[in-house]
Amino acid sequence: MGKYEIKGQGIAGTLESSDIQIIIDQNPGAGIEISLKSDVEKQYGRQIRATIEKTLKKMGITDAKLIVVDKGALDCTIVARTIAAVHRAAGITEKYDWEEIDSWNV
Amino acid sequence: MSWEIKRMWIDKNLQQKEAWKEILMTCGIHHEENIDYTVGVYEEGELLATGSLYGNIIKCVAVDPAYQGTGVINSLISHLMDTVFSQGYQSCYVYTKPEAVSSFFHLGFKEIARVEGKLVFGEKAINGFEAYLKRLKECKITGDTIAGIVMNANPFTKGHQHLVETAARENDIVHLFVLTEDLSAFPAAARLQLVREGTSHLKNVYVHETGDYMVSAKTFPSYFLKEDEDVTKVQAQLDAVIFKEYIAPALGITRRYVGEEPFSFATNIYNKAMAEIFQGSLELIVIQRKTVGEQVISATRVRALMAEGKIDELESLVPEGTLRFIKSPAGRQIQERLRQEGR
Repeated sequence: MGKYEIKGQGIAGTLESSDIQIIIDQNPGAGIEISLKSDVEKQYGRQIRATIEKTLKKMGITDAKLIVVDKGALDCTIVARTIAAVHRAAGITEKYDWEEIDSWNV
Repeated sequence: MSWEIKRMWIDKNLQQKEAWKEILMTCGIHHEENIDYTVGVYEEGELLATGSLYGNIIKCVAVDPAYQGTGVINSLISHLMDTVFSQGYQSCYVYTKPEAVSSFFHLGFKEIARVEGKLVFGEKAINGFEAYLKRLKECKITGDTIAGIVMNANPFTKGHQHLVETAARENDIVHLFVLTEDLSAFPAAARLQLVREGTSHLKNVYVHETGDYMVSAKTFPSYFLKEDEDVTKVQAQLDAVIFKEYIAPALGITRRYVGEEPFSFATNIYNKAMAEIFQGSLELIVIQRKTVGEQVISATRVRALMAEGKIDELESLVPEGTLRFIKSPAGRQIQERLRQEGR
């Protein structure tokens, strides 16, 4: 078991322009499942998914179900919101490991 | 974008209440009583939009027509959704007019069901309606005749028992749904337990929870329906659509059993609306109420007797398990509360 264990539902981000709202929950044994809604899904859908998946992988998460509503977020926003949603789903409210997060350099 | 979201105290501040009613009115919405949290989106003191919550249900959303399409609704719904999820709810619901539904789809809501031309019921949840149906499908048991019953059982009476026994006798399998919502005099867990006890002698009866997908009058919103529209009827239609299109197919149900209610106008409308929606796909079987002496047995009567402290009169109305619960410490608390409400 990795450092981040998803214990319940976690939400981060907003539905405002240039942001992304991510809700994450458990998905035991069923891999990463992302349901994405975006105004730019055709052009950037694949990239948004890849950014989220890459971030989850760095955090050691192999099973999770996500619903994502993108309002034109930049990659750095997507990463930040994913990290925050995972922390909340893992019940971590303080002591974020910034050193490790920085070292991913995603 | 310079607007800000502020809490509105519509039950305390008359001025805010008037402003709130006014913006709702410009969007053709009536105000509602069943609300526990309201916010407004303001720009330089001017109210641009409003939205409310009742538990995990988003209600009374209105945006000033001049500000529609500006993103005000995104800020508003974001805020309401955050409030819902931070309270620990796993899902967020919305009822809206069909013409307004696309803005909610845009914000990641999914349609559960609709009553054509009247309303759409939507949800945002990771493990929502689909997951509920998947769990139901796992409970599917094959049989030639499979029946369904939905009840609140507040509390479970001999009348309910009679209805279930009749269905159990006439069908191979009976799926019995008990309302999950915790808004009745008897708590949901107790209602479910008493139904299980009172039907445990019937081996072909399977008890389920309704989840959030069969609604009660209390959570059902009426604010965007026309003044003369019959709220009970639309609620019944929505319930019937969900049952017909999703619940019944998941379990192979072909018949729904209901109790006849000769004196309740609301239940009559309900049964009639259900029969209309079911037509051609599901059979609606209305069972005559069981009577004791002159009177039909009803949960309402049981609660009235509890409020009057006439516990010894309950024996003929409720099964043993229910009577035992009513006499228990938890049951006595409910008696006390009913007595106070009755005053």
